[in-house]
Amino acid sequence: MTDLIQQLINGLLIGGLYALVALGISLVFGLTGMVNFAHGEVVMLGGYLTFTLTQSFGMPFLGSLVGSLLAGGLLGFAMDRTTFRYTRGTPMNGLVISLGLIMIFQSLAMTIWGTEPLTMDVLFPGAFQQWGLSLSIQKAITLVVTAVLIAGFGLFLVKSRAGRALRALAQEPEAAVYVGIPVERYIALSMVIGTALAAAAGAMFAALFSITPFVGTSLTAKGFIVVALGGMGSAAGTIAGGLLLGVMEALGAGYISAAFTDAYGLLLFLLVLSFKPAGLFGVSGRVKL
Amino acid sequence: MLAIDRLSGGYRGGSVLFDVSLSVGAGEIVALIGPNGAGKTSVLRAISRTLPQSRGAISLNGEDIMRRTGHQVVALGVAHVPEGRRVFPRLTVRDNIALGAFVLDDHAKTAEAVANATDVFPALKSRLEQLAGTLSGGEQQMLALARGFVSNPKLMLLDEPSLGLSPRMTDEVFALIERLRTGGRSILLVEQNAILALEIADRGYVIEGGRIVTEGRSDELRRAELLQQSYLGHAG
Amino acid sequence: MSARVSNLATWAVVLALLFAVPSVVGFDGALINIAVVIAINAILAFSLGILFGYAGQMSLAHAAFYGIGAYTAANIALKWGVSFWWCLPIAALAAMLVAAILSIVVTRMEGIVFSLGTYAVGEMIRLVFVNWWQVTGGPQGLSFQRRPESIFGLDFTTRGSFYYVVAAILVLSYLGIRKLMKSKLGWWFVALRENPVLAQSLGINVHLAKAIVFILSAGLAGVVGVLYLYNFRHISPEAFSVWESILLILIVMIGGVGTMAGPIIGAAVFLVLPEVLRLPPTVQPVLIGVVLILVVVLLPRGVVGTFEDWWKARRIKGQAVPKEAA
Repeated sequence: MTDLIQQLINGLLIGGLYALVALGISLVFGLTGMVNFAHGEVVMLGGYLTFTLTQSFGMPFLGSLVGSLLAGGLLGFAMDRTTFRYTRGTPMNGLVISLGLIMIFQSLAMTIWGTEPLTMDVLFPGAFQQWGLSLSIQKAITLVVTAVLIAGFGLFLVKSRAGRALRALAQEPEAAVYVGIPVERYIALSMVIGTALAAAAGAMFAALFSITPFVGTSLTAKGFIVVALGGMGSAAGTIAGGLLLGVMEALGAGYISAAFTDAYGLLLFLLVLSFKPAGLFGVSGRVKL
Repeated sequence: MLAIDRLSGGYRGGSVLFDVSLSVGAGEIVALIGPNGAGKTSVLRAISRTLPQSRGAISLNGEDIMRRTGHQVVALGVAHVPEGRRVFPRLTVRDNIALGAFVLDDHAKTAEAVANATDVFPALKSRLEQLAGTLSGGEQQMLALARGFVSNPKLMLLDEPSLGLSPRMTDEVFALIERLRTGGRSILLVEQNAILALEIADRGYVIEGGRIVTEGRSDELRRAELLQQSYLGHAG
Repeated sequence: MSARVSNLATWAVVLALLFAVPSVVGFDGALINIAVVIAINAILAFSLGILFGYAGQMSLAHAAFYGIGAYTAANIALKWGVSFWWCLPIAALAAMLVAAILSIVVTRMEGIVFSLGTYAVGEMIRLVFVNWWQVTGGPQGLSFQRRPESIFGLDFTTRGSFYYVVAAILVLSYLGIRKLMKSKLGWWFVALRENPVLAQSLGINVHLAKAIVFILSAGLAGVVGVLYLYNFRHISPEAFSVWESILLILIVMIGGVGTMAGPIIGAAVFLVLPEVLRLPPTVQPVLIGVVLILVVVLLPRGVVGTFEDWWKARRIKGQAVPKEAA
């Protein structure tokens, strides 16, 4: 029983990070119909940046995380302005461009950090022990930061003027123009928010696991699966989907075989795509934000 | 207020408008009528700068807007109420109206504007916290009009406000539209229901195949339209 | 009549050029190796072209099918001593079988969803390559030392002679695809591309047509897998990842569809240029990425649109020449 609860906690931890990654994919898809394969690369770069800031420059973890978050947002802005904005009417071209971006970002990371997995020194030694369960302080911090970021994003979307504008744009793009929403600026904003969250997730990933230049692709795949699970993707659904995938993986790895964990998720994704495409990617392709 | 001179344009597949010229004076209601697919909606889109391609001249109070983008035109005092209402279905009625005042960018002013709008559209008052997608068709049309009205625009572009509404609801909506012209506000009204539109309009233009074929005072156009309908043997 | 003569003349020149390659670059050594690799990738581009160019579907699983061909051939050759020549059709069938099963799900997809779906397919197959180590040798892959067997008294063990095998398959697959596109099936594909709704109303079974394209293209990729295996003599999962598929898409985008020279040039650009420029291994992907982005941003009608333009031009040309005088 304690074992099961332990697995559930680990699953929620990973799942929260998956949700942070997937929110950006879902947000950008909802506004532009574009699928950004390079999204996971931002997670990877965010992770490396926090690695370097803490290990080489001795910055505190939370400060580095904020640094990654800001740098991620900046990178998202740069990507949108230099490439993606030329593909607004043709999301397929955006997809192809994002594939090109992956190659560039991976090579960049290989050049700077090499191909060997890098593991951070333990920043917060120690763990909470209770009822036979254990939660390292690093993991506890991750849980809290993830919860704060997700809640902050939710509040932004529901309560702020900009959040309402984003939802309006996703629901009725043409009417959004007629109420005076500057569409291009808000699409760029969605890219910035999505990549900032992704880079922050990367910072937390890097502190918990090792990091290589190639983790981005598999994280993008996780993001797709989450978004498909959550129903492409109400923001709430995406968060729920992330937690669900995290828990499923933790239980699968704990009780079934670990080797094919990734394949189960992909299979699920494939089935959702083929049998519920209208509901998820839909004729209208609108996201319920 | 609004002057369009030899406007042509359309979509990537081809042109739908050819040398369209029309004008709307201050405080005037002008009807743009014509059959399905004649280019009525495209004229409104060209004004709102959402028509992909357009040539010619469009000016608002003498200011050329051909190089403006959609949200800039809104800031100049144009409110477009699109065909099919296009309310934001998963936002509350209150948020929908508040978004209509997006260009105000001021919390207090927005709240005041929303309160004013609900005075003009009392039917929405009791529904402010409801999701817009759950309203009836008539209520959604009211909401779309309120969303356009809330920014206190100088010119309103109304696209088929009677579409899909019951006759009773249509009468109610048209009664409201007549009230919207207060304070020198101009209205360009696109309708398939020509007789109804010409009843409240001062002047009208008839568009067919992307070209303006007739223009004139409402009562003249209305007489001609009734005559034509009686020949063809169908009404409405 | 004169068109036919000039056509024949063109073919004579093409065949002569292909035949002359080893005499020019040498029957052994690095250059003939590059020629083989270019030819292999050109065939892959042909097979992807059926899907991407003619049917408008951008598959990210293509390299996975060529991997299936390679692993199938390696296993049957190593375990049962099946000859190279029998490996070719068997590998094609294996890839087609997997494609047929997957076509149940992927033919339900369109556009971006199809790309996402085939991405999932490609990744899943790669995971199988990595984890089914009894058959695939796991992440390290398989080493393979066999050479093609003699046939009709001809020896194919040298690099130069192997080149002729690959070149022959290159020409045959080009001719085969051309013939296919002129058949009723080819007409189905065009109808499907141009107007799926109309195609359906004309009684074309859209799912079936899409499934056939998908399966055929996988089958040809399976054949190439065998060539890859006998050429490189080592296979590992990374050679068949989604990245290989992306490189192939790029080759098709650069080279276009419907010509033989296009994919050869496209493959040469991406396989030879980095070698000639002696780029460090980390710079090459950056170059590819930048080219990919530039192609998409600079082609005003976009990737798919350029194909449409090309196709329309071709169709108009086709109409000008009356096929049947009935």
